Amino acid sequence: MSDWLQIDEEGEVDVEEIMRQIKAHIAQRKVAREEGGDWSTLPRLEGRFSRAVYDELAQAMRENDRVYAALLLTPSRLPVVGRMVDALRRKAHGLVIFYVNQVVDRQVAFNHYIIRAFTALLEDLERDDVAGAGAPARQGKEEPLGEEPDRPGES
Amino acid sequence: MRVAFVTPWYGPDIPGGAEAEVRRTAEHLRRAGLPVEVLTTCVRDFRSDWGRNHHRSGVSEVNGVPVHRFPVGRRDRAAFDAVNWKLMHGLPVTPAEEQVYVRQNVHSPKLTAYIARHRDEFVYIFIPYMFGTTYWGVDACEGKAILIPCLHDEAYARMDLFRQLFSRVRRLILHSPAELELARSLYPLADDVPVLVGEGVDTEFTADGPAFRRKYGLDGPIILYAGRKDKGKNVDLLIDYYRLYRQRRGARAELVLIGGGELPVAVSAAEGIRDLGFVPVQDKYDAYGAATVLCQPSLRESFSLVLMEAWVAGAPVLVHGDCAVTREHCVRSNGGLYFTGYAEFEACLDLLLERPALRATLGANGRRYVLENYRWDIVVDRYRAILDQVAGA
Repeated sequence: MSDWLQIDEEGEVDVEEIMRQIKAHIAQRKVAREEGGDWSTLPRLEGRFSRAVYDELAQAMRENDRVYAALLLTPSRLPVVGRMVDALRRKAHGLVIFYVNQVVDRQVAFNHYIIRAFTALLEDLERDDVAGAGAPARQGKEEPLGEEPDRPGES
Repeated sequence: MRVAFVTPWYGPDIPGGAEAEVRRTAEHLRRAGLPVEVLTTCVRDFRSDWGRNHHRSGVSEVNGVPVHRFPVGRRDRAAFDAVNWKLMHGLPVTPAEEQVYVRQNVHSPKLTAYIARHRDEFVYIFIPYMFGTTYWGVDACEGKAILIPCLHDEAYARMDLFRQLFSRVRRLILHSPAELELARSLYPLADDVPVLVGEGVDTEFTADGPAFRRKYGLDGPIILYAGRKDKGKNVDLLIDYYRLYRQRRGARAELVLIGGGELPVAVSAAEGIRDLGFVPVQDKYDAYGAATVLCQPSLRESFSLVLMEAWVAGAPVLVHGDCAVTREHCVRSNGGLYFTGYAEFEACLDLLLERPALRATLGANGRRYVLENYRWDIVVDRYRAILDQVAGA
């Protein structure tokens, strides 16, 4: 459930970086819940669009939570100085990741709004499609997209 | 040159952060060979009647430290309480009311006279700032006074009389960068007056987590709270947040509380909250060893010995982000997370409960931080340097 956090847990942990990712994660969930486009549900009316459209949108939403750069280092095999080399490499990589993730923050926000725009477009088209056919609005089965972290008891 | 700690009360089992700090520091400095004594009143402790002499006056020894007790003078409790009420509620007080505050505060004219008579024989360390023993004592030994203020952003710190007090001490011993920043924002201080020392932390204890679990019948992940259980420590917030967390996330961990005092709300084991009350010291250490995470929700910490002890045992911590001191410790050490609001509390707890590798790394970072900064030999050396400077000048 917390796999949205991208850090090297066994390396040099940066508490401020963890808190920054926590705040970003909360902000995304909050926007999704508050602004009417609840990510967790999307009407799946059958007919107008293929299942692939909905599935890809769901996947995009899931991936948007995982775009942050993480530290990936293989240990040095150099004798004697290997540990020092690892420590220096870790610091250098950490600095780069810090700046990269700041850019990623802005990309995530952009992705978020793009996905919302697509979702809203789909809803409009679905609604127009149903109205245009003169049929009563069908009660589509609402299925959750991606994770629903608010379910009690789920680990 | 002898060293005297001056404090309003002193004893082997008096509760309170400042009280425990002066006791432990005096004992460690004495064991390190410094000629340390304690000057105090005959009042029992903070919660007793400040006009009543509980202890016999004279010299005794407490855990190897000579303690001089002096009788307190008569005081007008009603007048003091009236002014104190205004200060506690953030209301302005007049200069005349400030005089009432310091004159009717806990103090001993005989203690003050002793300090004045022996001004040249001692370096005096006063703790904490807002009591009469400090106010009148600094006045009696100006030039030889060191102050451990235990400063918070509160109405007392803004009183004119205490502003003047801070300008009269030779050194200020501070617990944290946050306290140092607060002191600089409140008072004009020469560069060499404030000194960042922290507190000494016992690092040689064992923390037998399985023993604690067996003794108290605990199983599964534990969110531990250790300390006084009252509203001043924000324990009611922790209980509220835990209940909401359990409702939203299920029974993923128990909340275990150890320490004295009365809980501000009723709790039960059925809802996953175990109040074990005051436990023996070794049980406290074992509790740190058993903890999945230690939570410190308090907004008013000077240093937080509990945080340090939990880190020595390798436990990660979760603190309130609005407490500058504990938040700073977490960030400087990379040994814990912090929350402001329920959403962050939930997210942090999810991470700490789901990721054992992260917990281990945070705990190890915290332990290293304590061992590098707050071992007793390090803190004693800091005190030695300060005392040499003040005595030599």
